[in-house]
This record gives sequence, structure tokens and C-alpha cells, in this order.
Amino acid sequence: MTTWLPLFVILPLAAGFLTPLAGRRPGESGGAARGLALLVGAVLLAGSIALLGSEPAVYWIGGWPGADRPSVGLSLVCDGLTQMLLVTVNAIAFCALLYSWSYIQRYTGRALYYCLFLLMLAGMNAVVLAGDLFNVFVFMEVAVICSYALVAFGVERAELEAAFKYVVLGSVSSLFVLLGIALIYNLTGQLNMALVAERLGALGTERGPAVWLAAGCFIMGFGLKAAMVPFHAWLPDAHPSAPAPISAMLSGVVIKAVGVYVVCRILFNVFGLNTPAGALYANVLIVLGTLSMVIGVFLAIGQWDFKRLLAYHSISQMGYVFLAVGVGAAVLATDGPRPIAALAIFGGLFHLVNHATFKSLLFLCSGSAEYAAGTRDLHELGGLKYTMPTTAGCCRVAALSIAGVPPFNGFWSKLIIVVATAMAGYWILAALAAFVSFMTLLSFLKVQRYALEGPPPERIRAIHETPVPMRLAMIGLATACVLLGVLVPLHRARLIDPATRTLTEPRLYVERFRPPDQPHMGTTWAAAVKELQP
Amino acid sequence: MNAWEVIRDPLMLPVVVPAIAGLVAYIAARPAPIVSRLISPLAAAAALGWAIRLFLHPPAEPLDVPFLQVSDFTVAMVLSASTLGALIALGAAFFGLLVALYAQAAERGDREEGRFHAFLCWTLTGAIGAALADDLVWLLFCWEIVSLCLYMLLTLGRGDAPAGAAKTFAMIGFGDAAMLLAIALLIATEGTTRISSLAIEVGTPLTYACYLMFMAAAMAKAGAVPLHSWIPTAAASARASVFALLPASIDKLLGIGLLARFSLDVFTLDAAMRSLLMVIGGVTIIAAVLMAMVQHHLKTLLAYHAVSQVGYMVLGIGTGTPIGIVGGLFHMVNHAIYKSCLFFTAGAVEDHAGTDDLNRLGGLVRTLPLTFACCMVSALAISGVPPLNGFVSKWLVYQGCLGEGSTLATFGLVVAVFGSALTLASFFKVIASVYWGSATRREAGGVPVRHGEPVARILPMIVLAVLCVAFGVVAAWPLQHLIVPAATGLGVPVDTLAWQYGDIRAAELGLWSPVPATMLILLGLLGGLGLYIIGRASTARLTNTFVGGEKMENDPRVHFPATSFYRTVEELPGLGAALRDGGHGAFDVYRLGGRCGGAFVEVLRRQHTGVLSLYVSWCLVGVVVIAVYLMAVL
Repeated sequence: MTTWLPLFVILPLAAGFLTPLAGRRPGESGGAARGLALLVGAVLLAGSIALLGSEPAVYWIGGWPGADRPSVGLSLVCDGLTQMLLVTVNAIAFCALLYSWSYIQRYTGRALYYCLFLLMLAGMNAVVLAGDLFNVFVFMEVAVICSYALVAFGVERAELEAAFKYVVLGSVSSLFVLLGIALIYNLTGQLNMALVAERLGALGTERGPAVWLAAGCFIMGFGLKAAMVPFHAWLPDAHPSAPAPISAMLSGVVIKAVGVYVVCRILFNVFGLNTPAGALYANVLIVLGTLSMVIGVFLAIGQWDFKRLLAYHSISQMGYVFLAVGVGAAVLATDGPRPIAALAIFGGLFHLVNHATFKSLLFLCSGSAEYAAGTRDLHELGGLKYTMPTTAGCCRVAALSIAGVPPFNGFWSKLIIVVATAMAGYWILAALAAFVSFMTLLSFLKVQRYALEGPPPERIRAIHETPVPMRLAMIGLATACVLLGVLVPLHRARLIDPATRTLTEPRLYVERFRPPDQPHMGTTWAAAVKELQP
Repeated sequence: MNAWEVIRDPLMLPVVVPAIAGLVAYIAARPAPIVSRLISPLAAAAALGWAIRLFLHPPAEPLDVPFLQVSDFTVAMVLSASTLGALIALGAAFFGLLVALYAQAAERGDREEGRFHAFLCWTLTGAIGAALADDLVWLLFCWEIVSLCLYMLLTLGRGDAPAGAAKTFAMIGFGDAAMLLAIALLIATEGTTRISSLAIEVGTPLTYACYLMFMAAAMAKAGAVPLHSWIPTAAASARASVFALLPASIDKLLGIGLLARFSLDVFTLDAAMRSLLMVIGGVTIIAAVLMAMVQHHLKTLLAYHAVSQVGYMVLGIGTGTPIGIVGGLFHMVNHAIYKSCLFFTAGAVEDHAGTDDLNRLGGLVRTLPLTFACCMVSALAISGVPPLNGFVSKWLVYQGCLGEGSTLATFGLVVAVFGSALTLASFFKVIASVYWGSATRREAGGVPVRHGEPVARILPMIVLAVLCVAFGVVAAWPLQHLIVPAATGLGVPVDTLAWQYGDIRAAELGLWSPVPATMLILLGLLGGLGLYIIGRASTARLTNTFVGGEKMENDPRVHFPATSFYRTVEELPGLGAALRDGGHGAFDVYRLGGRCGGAFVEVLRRQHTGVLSLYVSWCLVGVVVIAVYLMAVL
């Protein structure tokens, strides 16, 4: 199983570079490119599902570190959290590719589209697999640079402006990430995350302010990629401007793989919470999460642009994830009852998976509406349940899921988050979470009322349902929304529980993935630390 | 316990069978609507049978099926048949069955017929599941399933239905979110999700907050002021069958049942909370009935009465006296009976005439005689005219107010009696404008959909009308066998012996003597009939109407519409203006909340100018704040 791990990166990377070649042939309509991309997507999805529930594994690229060699090699690590993210990313990518099959035929430069898409996928897969900080940075850049280009793919005025803002803000955050990595490297002499964690732990209380500055840089850098308030301003422009399947990828998985996932990984597994700073990291997460949750939903409810409304909800829903993970971190950091921490983190991670399904689905539905009706203004839409029953049905399922209505998946994760927050003693935050859930319901009632219900306006009375691949993609995600909710007891043991354990028992990461000892390197980091001390 | 044993458990059957039936009905909705049409009454009848068995022979042990356990938090499907729970389950199945029968005629051939039946079945699943629930999370799950079904059923309506449906789900969703929070806080503080093991005395801010949130959930579902405004809005464009199913009956059973359970059994209330309940009850009675009086549409008018009547139930429970509580619960059952019947008749009228505008209706007594009779009985019942059931339960609520004895309760009594009189007044308007008078203006109405009184449509009305009479004339039977056991199950000390012979110790317990009284009333009516017949024997003197010199005899345009009966109320200075504003939503928390929220959204949106340098500066400020926080505190 271990030897498969590099395929998650190599396959999309290789296919990504092949697709422009396929597009070079004269008279080529992108058929080869889309076939190749879909095939890669299917293989990756199957592989990630097969990986679920397997033992944690580490793959050393090139087999460099051995019993007697220093760990200069790069590692790909795969534990519960990585497996959960891999399945989520590749499932959404497969649905988006299926959807793109027909949707993207309206664009030119289709081969380039698939090239960027696959590179972005390779970047995300590599980020969640990477075992060292620098590869996280590099592949994060691969993924987000592709996403900059994809946001601008329509090359209209709005798209270019959105992409420009996204580039600037994204670069600012990347710089902070790089600064954080430099600080950490300076402090520990290591980039491998297990080793960094071990050495930061060994430093104990002598770690000094550099670590906290690094933590601040990471939280800001990856927090921006996750669109936490106040780092969110790029998202409401970027996510709606991209083609619908890309919006689905961006809101569904990119903000999670290069944002939420990395923040969790670094704070829980690398910096560790059993330090005096642990509780502070947790507080930062909680504050960012709460701000995003509340401000995001209020901004969303006032929107009339379908996709922009959805984009603001991504901010709000990511706030839930941050809140839940932050509450779990706070409980762990203060040596509180571990079951409560486990419950909170379970809720957060489950919500992450759920959000990936229903938010991607919502973006695909909004894309279908735009595809057929030519508008995404809720004032101009209406009556889709008569003209486009499949789209409307899927949209309804997704809207009810995100609003936290049983029996769909969002109900369970929100319930767990609210209960865990209350159990951890944050009653006001639990109240806010419940209130935001109500506000989410309100804004999706608005979506249903104006997009799905009512008599269709004259202009779009004659529209038809979208082509079969687009409908299949939506039906697949809608089924996932229902099954993830109804079958929680069945899928959690393989999907959510191992991921939760990764975060609730942060020391496991070092034990599992620490490369063999290299005695001669121990002195260099210790000496470096000594020099840094004031 | 394997899955098959769980399903076969007597507590699970009435929940799971409608769920499966709903699934079948949903799948068959478009390809074979006849399957949906047939399966829903069958499922409802089966559920009714099992619910009756549960009521008569409640299993000693609750059914406990763990669903999900995440560390310390367990979600389990726990069902137990308390007497109140079984009574509500029985009521839900009964009304589900009647509506399923009614829909055989009323919804037949409609495009959405199959889905209607599917959601009807799922409503029963949710309602029976919530009634029998003994686990907080399972209660929430079922409770929200009912909300969802109501929303989906309302979206099937015509005209402005989407707006009404959205408003409904928004307001009920507020209650659901409050309940979610209350449940989370209870789990956090009490450490259990089992409802029967909770016994909380209100007193601390947290317990007050929890109780108030459960109260909000119950009130939003039942429709008490100020969370009532979805009912009239949704009623305007909803199908009458949907309203007869949910807001008229099942929502009331669930909402008031939950209120009773949490006010009497789970929480122990103090004087402040009971006063709050009484105030809400009183305000609901009077505000909604005044709004009802000025309505010109049959379904909206009925909807305001559906709000107003909730006030009696809340008031009764709020008194905290055994007799008041029994009265409140009995009124809950009675209200479901006569209000469903009224909505059935409204549906018949609307389908027959193509409109529910009172100004365009008239003279339907000739074409819909049975509907008229049923409407008459239930209108008298809702107005609290003896000897019908509404009178008995209102009488008990009055007695409860008197027994409580405080100034507030006395005030509540006055309001309740006055509200009852206004109810009668507004139903005069309904009867007069819909059934009496001339039918000449019907041409101005919409397109009639279906004519006549098919059996499937009239039978449920007759059943309910008969129940209205029966529960009034022999009130001791339902009180003794249904209501008092439910109240004692909640720990209310009712002296059951007193009900044994119906009217013995009536003075003490507040029950009047219905059988002799009915005899006297019948005698009176017979006497009136006799006078009428005698009067007809002599020729009446016919003369022209005095119209101040104007010439207008035989002019078809001249009429005295019953809708103008209470124009005086509308034209009162102050109150009339308030009522007119109420029609435009001045007292509607939905609109008010929307306006406040809109202002806040606007403030936030102004910050998002689209200027990139501003956004970058937010990021920088953010990172500086985080870094300073981390470094300064350590």
C-alpha cells in the first residue's frame, strides 16, 4: 500500500502535462484531454477509497534515509487525517471532472483547463501527503497558482480582477508561510515535520518568541488560504468568478487542503498543544472561527448573486470547522476531559467532509442554473423545479444539508459541534453556532424560494435540464450528502475516527513518522538554538 | 437485538412503517401516483392501530437503539410510551389517516399528489417519533423532520406558496435552532440525553434560558404570539389538506405536548415562568382573534383562529392548576378536531368555488349542505358554544384561571371569555358570507376545480363533526380515558375518582353537567323550531327596505356583505390602525428581524469596498494582532 502513495501526486502531475499536448492536435476539441483527466480522477478516487482505514504509512522518496544515513530525503506520510482529506479531495475532483465533461465545452482552451485542474489536484494531494514543511509550501504554491489561473479562466473583466486580488492576497499569505518556515528551520535545523515536532518538544520552555511568531505566521498564512475573517476578502470575488467546477473545487476542497488541513497539522502535530502556548493557539483558532462563522453568514444572507452567496457561506462554514477544532485544541491544551476534545474534533472534521460535499454540490447546481438560464442572479432565476427537476432536487438536498436539517449530513456535524462546544463550557459560542445555523437556514430558504420555487420568469421558461454528465455529477454528490448523514455509524470508523485520533493524540505523529536517528545532526540544531537565545 | 427485532418492536412499528411507506410513495409519486395514493391511508391506519395499542398497553421497557456514539456523546433512538406521548402519537396517526382519506378526493389527479402522500407519511414518522421520544437528540431529529415535511408540503401549494413556505420554515427553524442549543446545554450540564431522567428546577440563568428555548420551539411549532405569523401567511396560498394535517392538528399536538411535558415534567416552573406563559396565552388569544375578525379570506381567517386557540392551551398550562392543565390538554385535542374539520370544509369551499375570498362566496348551503353542517358544528365548537367540545375545554381553562386566583389569572380569564365571544362573532361572518346569502356573485370568483361532496371528502368532516359533539356531550369519557391519564403521567395530581361519574363533584372540579344541559339546549332548540313553524303559519308582512329615498330595489349590485360585519373594529381609532398595520406585518417578528438583520448586513457590506490595499491591510493587522497576542501573553 505504501508504494502507492507517490501515485497520488505523480499521476495527476504527469497527466496534467500530457493534456496540453493532446490539445495541440489540429481539430482537437479537448476530447482526449477530458478523457484522460476523468480517467485519472477515477483512478485516484478508487485509490483513495482503497487507502481508507489502512495503517499509517510513510514513504521515503528515493529510499534515502536508512539505518545509517541522515534524513535528507523527502517523505510522504499517510495517516488517518491524510486519508480523510485524500478521499474528500479526490471524490470532489472526480465529480468536478465529470461535470466539466460537458460544462467546459463552452470555453476555449479546454486542454489548458484540464492541465491546470490536474496540476491543482496534484498540488493538493501532495500537500496532504507531504511529510515536511517545505514540500507543504511548494505544493501549496502549485495548487494555488493553478487556482489563480483557473479563477481567471473566463478572462472577462470580473474574472481578471478577482484573480488579481486573489494573487496579491495569496502571495502575501505565502510570504508569511515562508517566513514561518524560515523561522522554524532556523530554530530546529529541520524541515521534516516529525523531527521539527520532536525538537520543538525537546526545547520545552526555552523555545522563545520565535516559535510564537512562526505560529502567528502559519496561522495567518494558512488562515488566509482557508478564508478566515479578517483574511477572507479574496474569496467572495475569486470563488464565484471561476467556472462552476472550479468553484466547486475551490470552495469544496482547496480551502480545506491548503488551509484548514495544514493549520491543524502544524498546530496539533508540529507545535503541539501541551505547551503554555497551546491554549493561546486554541484561542486564536476559536476567535478566528467565530468571527468567520458570524460575519460570513451575515454577508451571505444579503447576497443576490447565487455563487457569491455560496462563497460567503464557505467562510461561515469554515468558521464552524475552526471553532470546533479550536475548542478541541483548547480542551487538550488545558488538560481537560479528552472525550470532549475528541467530540469537538470529530465534529469539526466531519463538518469539513460534509461541507466539501454539499458546497461543491451547491456550486455545481448554481453552475447548471447559469449554464441553462444564463444568469446567476437570484432575482432573475425561478421555477427551476419545473424546468430543471434534477438540478433543483440536488440543489434542495444540498441546501437542506448546509442548513443542518435532518436527515442530511450537515445536521449531524452541526449538532456535534454545538454539543461539544457547550460541553467544553463555551456556552456563548454554542449559542452563536446555533444562531448561525439558523441564519444559514434562512439564506438557503432564500435560495430555494427564488431559484427553485415559484413560476419560472418568462425569459427562462423554455430552458432545459443540463447534459447527462453534469447531472450525474450532481446526483453523485447529492447521494453522498444523504448517505454521509444517514450512514454516520457505518462510515465514521474508517473515515472520521482515524483522522480524529491523529489530532487528539498528537504525539502519535512523531512516533509514527519520525525518521531513524541521525546522531551527527543533533548537535547542529542545538547549537543553532543556543545562538538564537538572547 | 438485531435490526428485524428492532423494527418489530411495538414502539418502533408506528414510526418505521410510515417511513417506509413514505419512501415508496415518494418513489412512485411520478410513475404511479395510485400507489402513493393507496399506501398513505394504509400506513396511517396501521400507525393508528399500533398507537392505540401503545396507549392501551404501554410497554414497560423503553426501546433503546444506539445510533451513534462519539466518545462521551451518545445518540440513541429511545422510544417510550408515556401516556401523553401515546396520546399524541394516537392523535397524529388519527389526523394523518383522516387527511389521507380527504386527499383521496381533494388531491386526486394533482401533479404533486404522490409527493403529498409521501410527505404525509414522513410527517407521521416524525410526529410519532417525536411524541414517543425519550432521548433529546432523537426528539430534535424527529421534530425537525416534521418541520421539513411541513415546508415541503407548503412548497407544493400554488400562487405565493414559496414565500409562505420560506417564512414558515424560517420561523419554525428559529424554534428548532433554539431547541438544538437548549439540548446542547442540557447535555453539557446534566450529562444525560434521557428526557425521563431529567428533573430541573428553574432558578439559575442557565435553566431559565434552557426552558425558554424549549418554550420558543414549542411556541413556534404551535404558533403562539410572537412566533405565530407564519401561520396566516402560509395559509393564504397553502392547500387546505396541508393545513388540516399540520398547523391545525399535528403541529398543535406536538407543540403543546412538548410545552406540557417540559413545563410540568422536565422543568419545575416558578411563578415568573408561569406568569409568562399566562401572559403569552392571553395576548395570543386576544391579538389573534382581533386579527381574525378583520380578515377577508377564509383560510387566513381560520389560520388566525388557529393561533388564537393556542392561547387557551398555553393559558391553561400556565395556570399550573390541575384543572387548568387538564383543560389545556383537552383543548389541544379539541382544537385539532374542530380546526381540521374547518380546514376540510374550507378546502371543499375553495375547490368548489375556485376562491376563498369571502366577498366572492355565498349561498353554498344549497350546493354543499353536508359541508355546511360540519362547518356549523365545528364553528360553534371553536366558539365555545355549549354543549360542544370547545366549550368544555374552555370551561376547564376558565376554572383553572379561577383556581389559580392571582390577578393575572383573573385577567387571563377575562381575556379568554372575551376572546371566545369574538371568535363566535367572526364565525358568524364566515357562516353568513360563505354559506348563506345569495350565490349571484360567484361568477366573479375564480375557476371552480371540483364540484359536489364526494364521500372521501365528506367522511372525514363528518367524523370530526361527530367527535365535536361527542367530546362535548359525553366529555367525561375522553377526559377520564385520554386527558386525565396523560396529565397524571406528567405528575399532575388530578383526582381521577372525580371523573368517574362524569358530573359528580362537578362543582368542585369545574366540570359542568353536559348531559342534562344538552337536553335543555335541545329542548330550547326544539322550542325555537316550534315557534318558527308556528310563525311560518301566519303570513309575514313584506315591505320595502327604507333606503332614504334612493331607488335601489331589485338592483343586483346592492348587497350587504358579511365581510363588513366588523368594519367597526377596523375603523376604531388606534386599534383599527394597529390591526391594519398587523396585516402588513408591523407586529411580525419575521419582518422586524429581517429589517434589523438587513441593517447589520449593510454595515458589513460597506466595509467590503473592493479596494485591494484595504484587504491587504486587514491581513496585516490580523497577523500583527495574532503575533502580539501570542507573544505578549507568554
